Amino acid sequence: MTDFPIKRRDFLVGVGVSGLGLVFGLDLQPAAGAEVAHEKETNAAGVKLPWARIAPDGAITIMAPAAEMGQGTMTALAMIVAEELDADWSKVTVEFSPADDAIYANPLPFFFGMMVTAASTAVMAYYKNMRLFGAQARRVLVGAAAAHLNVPASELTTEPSVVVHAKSGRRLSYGEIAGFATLPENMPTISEKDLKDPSQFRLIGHDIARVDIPGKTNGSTQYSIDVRLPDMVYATVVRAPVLGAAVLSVNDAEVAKMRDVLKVMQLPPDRVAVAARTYEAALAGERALKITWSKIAQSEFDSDRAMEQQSAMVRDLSKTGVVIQTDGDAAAAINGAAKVYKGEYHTEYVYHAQMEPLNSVSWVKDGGKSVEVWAGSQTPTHCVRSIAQALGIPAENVTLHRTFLGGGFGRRSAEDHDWAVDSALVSREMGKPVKVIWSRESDVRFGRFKPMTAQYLMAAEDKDGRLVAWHHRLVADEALSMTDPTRFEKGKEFPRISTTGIRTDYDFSNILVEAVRNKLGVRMSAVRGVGSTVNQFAAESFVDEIAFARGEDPVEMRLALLQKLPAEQETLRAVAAMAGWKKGEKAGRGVSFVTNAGTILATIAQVTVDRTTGAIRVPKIWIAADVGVAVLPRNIDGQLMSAAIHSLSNLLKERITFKNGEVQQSNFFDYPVIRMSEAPEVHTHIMPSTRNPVGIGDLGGIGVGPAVANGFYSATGKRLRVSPFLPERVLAVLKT
Amino acid sequence: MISLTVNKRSVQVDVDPSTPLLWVLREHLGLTGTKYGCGVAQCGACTVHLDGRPVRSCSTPMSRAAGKQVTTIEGVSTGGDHPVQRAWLEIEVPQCGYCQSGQIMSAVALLEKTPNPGEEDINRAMSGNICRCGTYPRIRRAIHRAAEMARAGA
Repeated sequence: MTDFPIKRRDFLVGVGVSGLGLVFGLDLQPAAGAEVAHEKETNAAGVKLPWARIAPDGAITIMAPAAEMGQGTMTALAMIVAEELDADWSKVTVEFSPADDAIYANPLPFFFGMMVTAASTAVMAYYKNMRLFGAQARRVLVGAAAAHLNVPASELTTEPSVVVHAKSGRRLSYGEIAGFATLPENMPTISEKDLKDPSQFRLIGHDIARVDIPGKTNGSTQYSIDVRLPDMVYATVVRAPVLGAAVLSVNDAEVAKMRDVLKVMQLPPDRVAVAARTYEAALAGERALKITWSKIAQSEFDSDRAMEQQSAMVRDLSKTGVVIQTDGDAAAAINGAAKVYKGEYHTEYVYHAQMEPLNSVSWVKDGGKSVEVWAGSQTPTHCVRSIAQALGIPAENVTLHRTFLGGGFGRRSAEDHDWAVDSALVSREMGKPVKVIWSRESDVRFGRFKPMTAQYLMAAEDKDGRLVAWHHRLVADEALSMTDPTRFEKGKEFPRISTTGIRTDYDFSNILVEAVRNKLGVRMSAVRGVGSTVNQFAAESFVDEIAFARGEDPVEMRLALLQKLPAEQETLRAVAAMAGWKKGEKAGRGVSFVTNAGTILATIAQVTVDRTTGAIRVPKIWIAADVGVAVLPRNIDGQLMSAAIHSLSNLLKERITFKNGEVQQSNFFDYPVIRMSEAPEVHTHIMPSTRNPVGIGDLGGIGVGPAVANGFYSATGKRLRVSPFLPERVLAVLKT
Repeated sequence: MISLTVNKRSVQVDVDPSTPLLWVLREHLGLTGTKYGCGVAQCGACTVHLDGRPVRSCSTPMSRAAGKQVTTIEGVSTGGDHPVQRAWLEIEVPQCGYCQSGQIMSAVALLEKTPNPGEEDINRAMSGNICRCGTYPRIRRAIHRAAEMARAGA
């Protein structure tokens, strides 16, 4: 991924323009009692740039444009700036940037100039620009030092946070320079040739300690749920259990009389809020609500029936879809084939289950004309716009304080910010600061889910036994239509997130990959791994079926199909070596090979099956990953571990089902997720690489599902085709 | 008025005896390191110590906490230097971090009872704490490391 929609020139001009606005004495101070910065004038002098500022005492503050939800980019992105700035890392602190698309947008084209932290893109997207910015800031410091010392800039070098004039032995710290420097009217032009050679990296590729960890071991990290304001009240909000239903009646007068309940209010179109002096009173009020909802067509929705319907659709080849990948003529090759393989797979709705239930704090002021909001959002400018729209005020009257996220996984990226708008509306109603916390039950029932999918695959062999065709059909609703309608419309329905990772890398001469959208009227969202996890569960299970049917070793067959792709082959060989994979092994181990957006992953899983209970255990997973330059290796290992375990949890345990249009699950007892006793060891290997970094946090686990499915086949000779692999499904398959 | 001791300070709160300890700690006393995750003792994010034993504060009514000693993440050490916290830093356990106060409180309680835990001890003591980021393997390593540090008297 090397194309950036923002031209370097625009980026540098942008910095220069802000540089013209440089005013000594402007600094950012943390607001009392809140995590996020208020802009506030002080007398402290310093060089201030939109991405970083250097104070006369040498302290360097670098802006984090991306959300920090566990993936570590708050550290990784700042390291990239600090590397080229040649900053002393011990003097660097990182803070969340303001919500401002003009400066901090994710540069990848399919984010359309908006701040979005999603799809494993932060490091990949910002890498080049942040290096250029860091190098430019360094050039400014060197230039100022040259003028001050009255020597040519070419005689100056830098050591961490120091400009050195070797000839005279004079040294100026960055802090000293910040004390006298001004930004030049025209910022210096930096190109890629001005950047460090990777062999000179002091930070990138080294295991720097993540900046967010200390606060997360002593309870001091502030998530939005932790914000407390003077005179604040609490609220809970209940939504229509069936998307699109409306309130017909509610026992509001009765609930309003409960102890400490202040008000019960309807928020159009489909919400009822209970405001109270304490959160426990608001929750008690929520539980006492008796609401009658309108019956609509969606009230008939049943997810089991939908799975049957999708199965019929996916097998009906006359229902053609949007073409995602094509080469040659797959249909003709399949029709004329000596042998055709077929496989059908299904996946069910999946819930985010981020540990911090959705919540936000708002303080509507000036009689409803302005608002301060505390929220941990993956799309902070969407958050600002949504709240402005809900309150009917201009976006510039919304001040968003960005907080840490207690897990995002896509749930906190939704454009409409259903969960943040709640507190703004209730605050306006109450005339006070309000904290809204969704109960876990609300977080599940009004969740937005990874869509269920049906997948049908065909592959053809010619008379010489060569694999010559691949046809992959996907039936699914498209979650981006609800997660981010602005992007969905601007991109004319591309990108789709249901189809990520569906392209095949294998060397078939005839390929057709198509996606049929099936609108099901259910709340949907991007969920970690988006389409990749489910599409690759199907595709890589199917490749395994073919390998076993042909009597080939699944690693060998994949290597042969990847013959034109050496980096991909190397990654697969690396995982086989790490796991000690033996040709033709029958040890209950399965393999998968997947790529998405430049990330290459080869995975092996060890699987054991309890044939009495149907329980699957996965004691070990091995992953080899090529992610380009590994900016923060220990964190990449952590992300691979995290994504692998998350994927495994999805695969073995998790599903949301619907009856009468309503979600059937409500909390962790009926939506179980993986726990300590079930967690596998995860062994990782990061491939050495010099290409630009690609993503890992969202994607690292996408090979786990098929590796486990294939390991199950290796252990039992049976094929699991429907995820999750619930014990009753395992027992049923074992009986066949 | 209900009296109890929180992190060695005696406090009095005026709440209904059925109020969960969690909300008193977080919203009445401002000790927000203890987290709300499920409200039904399923996830462990709210784990604190009641007279030294780990409990889920979301399902512990104030009537049960009355007169007792409560320790939260804020009181488990001075300056975050409990061996478990230092091991958490060294192994770099947290990701989103939201569940980690609860994980640490469960791990501290485990090591107080079982200074040299085996894998099954860890499974038993820690399986009530969900980590959606899947940091379990690092939690396991960090518990062993903390045990080592505590043995070395470090």
